[in-house]
Amino acid sequence: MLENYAPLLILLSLALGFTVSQVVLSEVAGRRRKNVGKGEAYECGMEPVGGARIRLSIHFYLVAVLFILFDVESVFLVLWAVAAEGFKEQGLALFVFGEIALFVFILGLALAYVWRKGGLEWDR
Amino acid sequence: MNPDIAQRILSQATLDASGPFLALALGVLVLVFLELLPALAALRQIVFLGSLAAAAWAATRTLFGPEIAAFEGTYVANSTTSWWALLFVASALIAWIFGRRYYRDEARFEGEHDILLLTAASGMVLMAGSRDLLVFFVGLETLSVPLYALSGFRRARRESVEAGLKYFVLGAFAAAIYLMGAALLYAGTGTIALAGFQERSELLETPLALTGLALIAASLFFKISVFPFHLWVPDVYQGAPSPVTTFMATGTKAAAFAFLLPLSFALPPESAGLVAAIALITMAAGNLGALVQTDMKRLLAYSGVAHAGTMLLALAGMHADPESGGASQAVLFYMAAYTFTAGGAFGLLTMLETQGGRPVTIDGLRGLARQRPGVAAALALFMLSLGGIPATGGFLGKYLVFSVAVRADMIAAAVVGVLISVVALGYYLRIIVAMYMQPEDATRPVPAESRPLSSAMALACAAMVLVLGVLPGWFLANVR
Amino acid sequence: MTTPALLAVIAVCAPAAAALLLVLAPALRRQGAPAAVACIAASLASLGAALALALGRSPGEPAVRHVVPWLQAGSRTIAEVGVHVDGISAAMLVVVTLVALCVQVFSVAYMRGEARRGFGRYFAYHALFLFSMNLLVVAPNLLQLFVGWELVGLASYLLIGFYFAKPSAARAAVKAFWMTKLADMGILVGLVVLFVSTGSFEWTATPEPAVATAVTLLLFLGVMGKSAQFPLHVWLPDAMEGPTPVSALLHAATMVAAGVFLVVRAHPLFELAPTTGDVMLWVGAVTAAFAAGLALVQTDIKKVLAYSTCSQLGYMVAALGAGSAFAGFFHLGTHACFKALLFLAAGSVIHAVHSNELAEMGGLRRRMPLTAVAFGIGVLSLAGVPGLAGFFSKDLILTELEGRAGWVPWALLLLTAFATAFYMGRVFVLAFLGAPSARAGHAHEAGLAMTGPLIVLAVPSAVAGFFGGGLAAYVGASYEPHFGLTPLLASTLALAGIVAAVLVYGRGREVAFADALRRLDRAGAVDRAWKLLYSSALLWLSGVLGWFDRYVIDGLMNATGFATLEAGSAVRVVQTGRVRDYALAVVAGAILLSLWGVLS
Repeated sequence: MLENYAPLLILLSLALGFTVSQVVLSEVAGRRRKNVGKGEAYECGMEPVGGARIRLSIHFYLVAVLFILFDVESVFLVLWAVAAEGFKEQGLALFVFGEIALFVFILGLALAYVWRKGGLEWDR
Repeated sequence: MNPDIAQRILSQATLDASGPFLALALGVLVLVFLELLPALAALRQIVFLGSLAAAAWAATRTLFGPEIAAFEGTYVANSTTSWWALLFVASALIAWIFGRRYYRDEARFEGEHDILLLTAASGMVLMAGSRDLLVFFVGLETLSVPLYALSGFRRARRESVEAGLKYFVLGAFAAAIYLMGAALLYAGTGTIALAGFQERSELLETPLALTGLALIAASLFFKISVFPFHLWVPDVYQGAPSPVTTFMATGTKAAAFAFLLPLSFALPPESAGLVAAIALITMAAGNLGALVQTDMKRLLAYSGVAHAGTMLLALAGMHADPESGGASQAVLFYMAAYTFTAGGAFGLLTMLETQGGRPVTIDGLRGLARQRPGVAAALALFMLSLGGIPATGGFLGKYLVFSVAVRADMIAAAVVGVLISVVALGYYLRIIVAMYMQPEDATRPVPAESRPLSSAMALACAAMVLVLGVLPGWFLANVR
Repeated sequence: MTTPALLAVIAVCAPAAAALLLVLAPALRRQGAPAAVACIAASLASLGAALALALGRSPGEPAVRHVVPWLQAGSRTIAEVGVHVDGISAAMLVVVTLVALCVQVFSVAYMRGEARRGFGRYFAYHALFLFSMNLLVVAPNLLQLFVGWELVGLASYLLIGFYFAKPSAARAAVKAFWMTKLADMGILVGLVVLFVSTGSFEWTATPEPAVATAVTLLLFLGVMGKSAQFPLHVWLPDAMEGPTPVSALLHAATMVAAGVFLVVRAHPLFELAPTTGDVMLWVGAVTAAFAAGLALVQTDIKKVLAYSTCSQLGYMVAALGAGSAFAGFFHLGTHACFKALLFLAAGSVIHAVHSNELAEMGGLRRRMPLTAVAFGIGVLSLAGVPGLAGFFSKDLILTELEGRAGWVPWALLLLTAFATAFYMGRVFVLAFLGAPSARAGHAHEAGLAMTGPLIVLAVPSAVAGFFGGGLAAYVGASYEPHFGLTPLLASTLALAGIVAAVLVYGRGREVAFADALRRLDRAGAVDRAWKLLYSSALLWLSGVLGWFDRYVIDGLMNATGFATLEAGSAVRVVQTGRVRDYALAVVAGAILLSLWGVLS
């Protein structure tokens, strides 16, 4: 039974091996130039040291989340475009167009909502 | 690609099957649209209620009919899913009505509140009807993401934000576990449809598929708050705004159970013992935890964990003997009773909290019977129902669940379960004692404020608890 | 739902609605008058429905049932609720609602002196009672009957203790509750035995003969409590602490007769158990004679009537024991009318002279002629004077008893018939004839609200006997009044008893009898026996149990509770509030589940 896991095991060892080897290699072969900037932990551009309950601008995250949201949803359009050709040949062009139009409309509604609520303004 | 796909997708059967979901989703869209035009804000409540009503109406259309499959069999509507849909609508309505005038600082975001609530409800409907791991996942996320936001809805309060964050992090965690499980199941069996699992049941025995099933079970157990996946419950229930807690306690649990029931055939029969053990441990953990609580919401959260354990026992019984049937009915009935009982109880706490302006503790309830006899009587009724006292819906639910276990020859588990339930009476009665037999705290009078809508809802919940307890015949005859 | 079923449902639900209204709207109840209006309107609706139901049925028509499933286990229905309308329940409904309405109207005048709050509470209890009683009467199975049975017990408790500020009333209420509850355990156990052996709560169930005997004996234990049979009768005289109209309705006409009704209803079951019949025969006869003896020496008018009720219930039970359900049921109906009449007339007197003591009355016939006539009709009917209602039903019972158990019960009941006539004659003479006492001098007849019900009840008390044949046909039995030796003896004894009473008390010769009678005054004996039983045996037992409870059970409970609470605190420990710990638990759980999935 357990031999069924062989592929999984191989994948796991490959992944582990790769990560470990990279860290070790850079440790061994890399040159070091120490300065203050490099000593800090990388944390999306914000100060990583200090209390946990500090105030910070939420706008950055808001815009980032909005970007990801619309970005990912737009990927659907590509898939649609690829598949649409086949549908067109079957005489379903109008139907699939209606579907994607509805999708874009909902997306547009969401965008309008975000706009209306001031989610796109940087300074408030 | 099949040429008549358009006809299949747009057929009457599809519309019938997805009616409740469509009604709720459409409601969400219209509500978002209304947010764009402040002039139309007055229509918000009408749209919200209309959407719920339309969903309920659509659900009743498939209530007594045969099963309708839609979207290539990934989504079905039958009597059971329609009952679930009705339950979700009731749950959303309870949460919404008790949430009126609850948010003071956040009053201007009430539109968002309604949108999120309705979206979550639509996710629940999707979960209950799905017969495919991915459709279920879409439903799960449609439910969960709005709930994360709702948990942290009172942005000015630290507890609320904390609850939202905790729920979000752990929920995302559980979702990841679910996806891992679904991936492994697909790897093992080559399908993600429940019907496919049934066809290739021999492949379910492979370690890969079993691991996948275990992971999926783990994430569902997280949603219904079963030991040891329940730790988030007290913190989140306590911190979240009370109306949202009401919704979480009743709706989320119900939706996860609604999918667990059709899925459970895939679990190997020998897992029944394990599930029963988890159920009993959950009941013990929930009830013991509740015993030492002083905050009412936290107490009810632990009690909710215990109730989830009780329902899981019916699932274990279903495993041990799939032919006996009745497990689905038992869980549905139990969940219905629990929805109205816990919904009413959390609702009354919401009312008291809104009026008193502070969290409700057991000590704070002292002497309530003299100050607010109606509220005290209703709360006492809900406590008795939660404790499983006869003539309430809670009793009958427990009775059905334990009899499923007994029919499946899990007599020891049923006996232990009943004994653990007795422990629960300890804290339910403590609340009644506080309300009826202890002198009130004169320095902290409970201000009486007329809230007719909430009162009517509490009365309706109490009536349903009694109807389910005294005249269950009709429900039992029609719920399968 | 068919029309008869609908009418029966109305008869049950109208008082239920009134009771519910008065519970849910305290403001209305505390007003007093609206409560009375609601209650009486509901009773009127009930009576109307009952009459329409009874008149709409032709004799011999099959029973109408309308039931809905109540308790279900899987696909099996354990019990149903609903209505069962046949001759017996239709006739009983009419009797119950008629008497109830009369009593409630009477109460409006009688309770006028009460504070508004109490007045409303009184009528709320009455509505509850009527609902419970009707629920019992139309019950389609023994389980629903038992539910109604317990509810009338509750109503009785509430109404006996209506003057709860009075210690004796509160004590009497508790005593009635305990005694009947003790007996009800019999019914509860009997029902469980019946269900276990036959799988149903129907009275048509046919268990094994031995089981049938056990079940019926257990049921009869409950009947003994509710219908005040020796030696469980001691609560009934004390129950007279309640307002007099309550005594008329609950403790004379309807509730105490519920026991008899239960046996009539479950007659198919009782027929399977001849042993139980013999027990009932003897218990009934002894109760009748014993209670009549005690009635001879009471000085309180209500106590006389209470013992008389015990005695008459003994007649009914004896008739049921002899296997004649109809004789018992017939006497139940006539007794309900004339005993309610007697109690209401007594209430009218008490209202006028403000005392229960016979010595305080006297010579009231001039001051209260209507009451005197009504009471007189009741006396003659109860005594069994030929032509009046009591005559027919009592003689039917005596005829049925001829030759049973060596004629002894028959002889006992004949003797009782004489005693009955004598003590009722005595009450009438002392209260209404002779010279007025100081208090009686200012007495006067009350208004129409009081006299009206008296008139209404006097009519059936007088003439109901002539409808015996009709009633028999209606409930599907047969009845031919026949005039053999027994009726002749009985009516002679009745007349002799009245004449003797007039001769003794009318002429002031009671002194000669006083000593002889005083020896009979053992009213307290049974009470004392119970008290002894309670105080010595029970208290000793409870002392032992109490010790066991306090040190062993409580000890265990405390230990358990302590351990449970400790465990609760232990559960708290894992509740750190840190997300990472929670996530750890989730991962650990998922891994354990997966491991189990792989390894199993």
